[in-house]
Amino acid sequence: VVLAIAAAVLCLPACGGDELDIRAVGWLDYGGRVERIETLGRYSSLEASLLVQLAGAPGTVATDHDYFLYRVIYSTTGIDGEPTRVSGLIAVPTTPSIKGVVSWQHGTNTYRPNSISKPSSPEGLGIAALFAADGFILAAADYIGLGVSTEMHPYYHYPTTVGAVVDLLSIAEVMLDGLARAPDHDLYIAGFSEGGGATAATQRALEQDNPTRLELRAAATVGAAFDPRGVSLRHVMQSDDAFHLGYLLTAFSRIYGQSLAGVVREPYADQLAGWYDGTKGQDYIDEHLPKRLDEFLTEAFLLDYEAGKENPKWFYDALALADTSDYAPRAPLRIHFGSADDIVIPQEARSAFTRMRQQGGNVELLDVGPYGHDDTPLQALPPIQRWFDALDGNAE
Amino acid sequence: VNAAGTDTSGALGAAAEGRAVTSRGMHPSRRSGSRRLARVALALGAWAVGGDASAHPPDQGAPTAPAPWSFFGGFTSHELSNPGLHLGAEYALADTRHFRSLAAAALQAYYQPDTEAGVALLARWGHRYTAGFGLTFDSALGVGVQYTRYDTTVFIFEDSMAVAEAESVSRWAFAPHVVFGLGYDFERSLAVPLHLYARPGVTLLYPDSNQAFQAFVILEVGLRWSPEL
Repeated sequence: VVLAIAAAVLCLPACGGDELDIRAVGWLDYGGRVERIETLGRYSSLEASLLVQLAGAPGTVATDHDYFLYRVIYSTTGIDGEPTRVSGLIAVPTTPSIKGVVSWQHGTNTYRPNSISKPSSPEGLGIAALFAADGFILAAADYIGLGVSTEMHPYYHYPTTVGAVVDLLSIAEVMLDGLARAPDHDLYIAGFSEGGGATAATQRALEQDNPTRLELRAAATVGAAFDPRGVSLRHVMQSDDAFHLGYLLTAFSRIYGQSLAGVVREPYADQLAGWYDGTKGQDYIDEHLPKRLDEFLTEAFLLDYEAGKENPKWFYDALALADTSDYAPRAPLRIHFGSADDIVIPQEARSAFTRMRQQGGNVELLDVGPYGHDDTPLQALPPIQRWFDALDGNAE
Repeated sequence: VNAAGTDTSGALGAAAEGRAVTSRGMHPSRRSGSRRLARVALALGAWAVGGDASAHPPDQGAPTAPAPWSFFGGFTSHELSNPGLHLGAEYALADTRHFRSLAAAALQAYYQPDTEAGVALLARWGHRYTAGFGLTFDSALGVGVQYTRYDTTVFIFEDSMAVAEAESVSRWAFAPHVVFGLGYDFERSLAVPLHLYARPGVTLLYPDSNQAFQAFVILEVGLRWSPEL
């Protein structure tokens, strides 16, 4: 028995199997869309399984394949319409039997070193384990302002976010065509929190005009804010959430060239740009922001808000442009929410579901249970993986 | 327990009754702590394999005074597909007729083409059950430090053409591991101080090049030699 095991082991390196080379992505023709690809390593299905189990994911999760991680640096269109340099994470299973492409849109992040393309972040490695180990190419854009991009992140500015996502998808499509034995152009998209809204915005954009040959089969959002001007703003004001309001105000003032004077009290009006520039984490910003909005916002803004006056107009217009409940999904969209989420309240999901259904959209609403905002993805992602697998032709 | 280390009433019995099992290489006056530890270790080992040495009569080829030091080495398979080597020494903390409590230190190296190469210094504590006809079963827990060189390739694109640049980063990491082994001890049947083994196991590595953990399967296949020193 021992000799047989020894012989088998000595044979294994020679019987390597049908595996991709980690460097194969470097020799594909991306048509000038890629500036740089860095190999970040190989992770095994065992690591993927342990990672998912240690995180406490409920239910069965398929982690059948080893996978390679890459950081891709590419160009997208910035808020000024000019090309800008961004990055993203791509994970490729080591098998040439690739099921398709999954695009993951990450949640709110103010700290550049925690970008998803630096896969030390739990979100980057966990998502790669979930989808690449299941046989999909995973693409996860950092968005403008995170990763290698040193601009300010255009928070809830979906034209640029969707652009960064779709541009990375076009790179993933080249990898799919170049590496898969029989390329399956099925595309699945999913995202959490800010990325949930970005997922809906990406679906809306792709179903209007898809510049890739990938075919959107399904979309899933987790803890997404669909209605920033209505539900989200009301909740932020009621819960004295200066962190998210500050991020929105700072980003919109930069994008639309407006001043925060008259909206935000001093000294915060001058300090916000330095806090939300990618160099500070949420803990730091929370610590330095006031706990009450009447200490953060000007009296004039608060009085106008109480009176129902949308002043300043640029801020309310920007919030309205970030609405993603205004379309009828053609590919099935599953909206996941935690019933105990006090950051993005369940009303966001319920009202978006109702509105999309009224427009004839292909949408389902899923309550994952009494979980808060940050615990919701762990509950939602295993069923999302099984759903994507089922749509791909495997048993759910 | 006789002087040759033969447990005539079983490790569990010895442990339960507080009787001594042999502990090697120590001055008698300094052995009581180690003996207690060894008794616990042997009792745990017996429990782990569901056995009771007292079930085996002492006349079925009991080992006599096995050498306390032995040396082992062989092939290491990392992730069951990448080649490597290991070399180490083992010390018998305590013996009964079927059980050995052991400590071991080993140097292990592997190479995964285009991805990484690692060298690890490992320390293990474990047990070996040896059946009367020589079949062995090992289990061991270990800790270690591993120095890993991660090979990365950076592709820099000019339009559609890429130039590849090889880069590498190196990192020290903590490497706890567990191994379970199957083997054959030729001492029992042929009186040759050699032991052939195959030990599959799992190693965790933290942190890796991405500040994350890695986990990989290892399989050690080799020979252990027990010289009379």
